[in-house]
Amino acid sequence: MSERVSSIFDNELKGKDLDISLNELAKNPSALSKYKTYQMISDVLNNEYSEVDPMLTSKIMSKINNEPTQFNNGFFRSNQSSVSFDYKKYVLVFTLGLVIAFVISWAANFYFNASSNNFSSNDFLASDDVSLEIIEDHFSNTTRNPNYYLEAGYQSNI
Amino acid sequence: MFRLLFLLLVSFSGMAATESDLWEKINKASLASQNLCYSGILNTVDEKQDINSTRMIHVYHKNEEFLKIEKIDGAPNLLLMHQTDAVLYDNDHDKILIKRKKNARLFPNIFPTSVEKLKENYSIFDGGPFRVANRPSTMFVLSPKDQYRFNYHLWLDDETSLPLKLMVIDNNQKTIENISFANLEFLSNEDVSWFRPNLDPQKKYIINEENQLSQSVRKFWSVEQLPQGFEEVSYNAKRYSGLNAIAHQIVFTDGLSYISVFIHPVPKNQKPQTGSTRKGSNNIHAKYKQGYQIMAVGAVPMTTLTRLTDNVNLSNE
Repeated sequence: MSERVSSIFDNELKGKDLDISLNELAKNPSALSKYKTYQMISDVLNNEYSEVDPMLTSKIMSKINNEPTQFNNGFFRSNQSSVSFDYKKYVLVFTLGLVIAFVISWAANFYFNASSNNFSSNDFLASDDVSLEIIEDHFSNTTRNPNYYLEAGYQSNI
Repeated sequence: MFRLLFLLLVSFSGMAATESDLWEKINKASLASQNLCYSGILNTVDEKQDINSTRMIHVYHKNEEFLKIEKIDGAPNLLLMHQTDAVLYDNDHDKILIKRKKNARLFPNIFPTSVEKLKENYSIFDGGPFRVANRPSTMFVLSPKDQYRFNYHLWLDDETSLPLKLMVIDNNQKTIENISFANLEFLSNEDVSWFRPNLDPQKKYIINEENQLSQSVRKFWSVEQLPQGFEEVSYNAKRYSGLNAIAHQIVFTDGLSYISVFIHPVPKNQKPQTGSTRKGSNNIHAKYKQGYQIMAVGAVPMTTLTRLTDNVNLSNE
């Protein structure tokens, strides 16, 4: 019966043969359903089926193409046959990591300085930056150590 | 067992002597360092644990003090001191630079004029018997009553009360100053024929007189709310190399701890220094205020220095 439906659909039957086949088709619900399906496929292919949105297929394909394939923590995506690296996500996560590390480092430094009570929070003074003349003048005028006194005793006046 | 007995003995001796008795020992030590005649070798240990030695002779003659100190290691620098006037002979290759100094408080004569002042800021404890420079001695601990100074450990000769050893311990239990007699001899006569330099005819002697800047300077600063027990004891002014302006040094002490506060203008092309650091046995705190660099230096806790620099007020020069 499938062959007969196909022949009717392809306009291969003429005259008497066509009448007989149409009568048999009308009596056979399965064959009639098959004929309707073929007709609908034909109409869709010819853009003649009004109940089907002609843009639907392209919309669906577009959506599929845009949908990333989630694997490897979301840093890669599959676009049909090609696989690409998602740099934007990586940069975002990396930047967030840097910010968090900086905040933790700053907080640790702040609390360390506060607890040691030895240094002001933001200032840094290198011991080598302190003038030797300052140290020698301090020793020269305050030390009780005879050796320091003899070493720091002389200061040239400018 | 022996340790336990030792601790019990120390505790017992501590209980037996009242705090007043212990302070009386310090008073005797102060007098002994001025009124006795003695000579010996002094060892000083610096931050790098290097030991430097000096030879000292001190004579009390007709109510006047004569002191001579020579370096044994390195350049043979010499100090001659009569009462409060000192003369330094500093060897600089082919010449000797002579400089006059005043009011040095050198070990063992380290105490303030009035020991009473120390009682306000330090508690005293008996640390027990020790042997220093081959002599029996007793250790005394002067512990600060507040956070503005460090601990002082003093070993006093049992027979004469002369200080034989001094250690300054910071808040981290680190020794930041260590001076002690390696050997000591008490002199029976008051001969002062040694009180002169050994002149070298091969060398040129240059007298290095400091400019009297201090007298012409108008004080444009004031320091309010000093740390408890500290007071200003001296002031100096001089020009530093690279600084086309006068730098001022004000010295504060509580009797044992010394702090220098330096104030000078910051040249336009120089960045001011701010913050805290440590150099050798000294803490240093720097602050910038109204175009001036304020720097405090001293073997005291950083809190003390910060309080000083924070409380320096400047008026227009």
